[in-house]
Amino acid sequence: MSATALFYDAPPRTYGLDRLDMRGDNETGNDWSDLRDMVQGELARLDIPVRAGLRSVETQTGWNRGGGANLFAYRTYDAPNSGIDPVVVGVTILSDPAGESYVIRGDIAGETIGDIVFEVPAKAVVGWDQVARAARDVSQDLAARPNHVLDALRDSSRKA
Amino acid sequence: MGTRRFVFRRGSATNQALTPRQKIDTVARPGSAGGLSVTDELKGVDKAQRIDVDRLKAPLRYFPDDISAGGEAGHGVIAPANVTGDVDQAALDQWASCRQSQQDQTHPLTQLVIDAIVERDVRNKT
Repeated sequence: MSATALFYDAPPRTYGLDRLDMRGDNETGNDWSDLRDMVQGELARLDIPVRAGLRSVETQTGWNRGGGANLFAYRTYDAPNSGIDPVVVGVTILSDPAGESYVIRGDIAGETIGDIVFEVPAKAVVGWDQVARAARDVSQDLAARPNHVLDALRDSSRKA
Repeated sequence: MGTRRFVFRRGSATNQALTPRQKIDTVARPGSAGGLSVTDELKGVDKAQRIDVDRLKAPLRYFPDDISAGGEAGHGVIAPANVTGDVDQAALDQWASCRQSQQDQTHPLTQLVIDAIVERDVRNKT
């Protein structure tokens, strides 16, 4: 008996390769830094209209990662000496539990009392370009809502 | 060992909200140590961070309230502990003093809290 091995030229598999960009730590630190800066740049568009409506407002930016989030970039608006809870406008990017995609979500919420003033429906995407696009869309959606921030900062029922 | 213990930190996951407030959270009350306030249940809150107490790394530790001393059931704090297992007040004060200066540099203790989060932005479904 003899066995003959047959070999076929299989076409290279390309399906799903875009996901490779999103797994593990293939992204460079600069990619996340650029994404963070882009989100912060979009959210910063809130500053002028919010300040126009509330001159005393104080703004702070920040970000972190960990605890399931690849990036949480935010902007906090505070009406000092009012006792009213600061308002956080933030975008969070998380990996889904299966590691197949990323979820981008954004909201306007109380910093310490946790009330949700406005929320953008979460978007699940695959591929770095889609992550960047979704993060930009969510950021722009939030940046178009200065009145939500102002209303929350004037709402005396939101005392922290 | 007992079952896993999860607690909730009310509010957003900003560096500031996950850091104790000076002269407010750093002060012990009857039955409750100073530290970052957390609760066992999510009541009347839209959004919170779910933290696995077992994932807290040293020097952070979870200190449940002592109900017999006036503490609140289901409430506790996360705070740095010293070698004897008590709250390290100096470390807690130092941590709180950095609350407002964490824009691009998360305080190491705040990062330990973030790393112990097992579910971000938990929504109250009740």
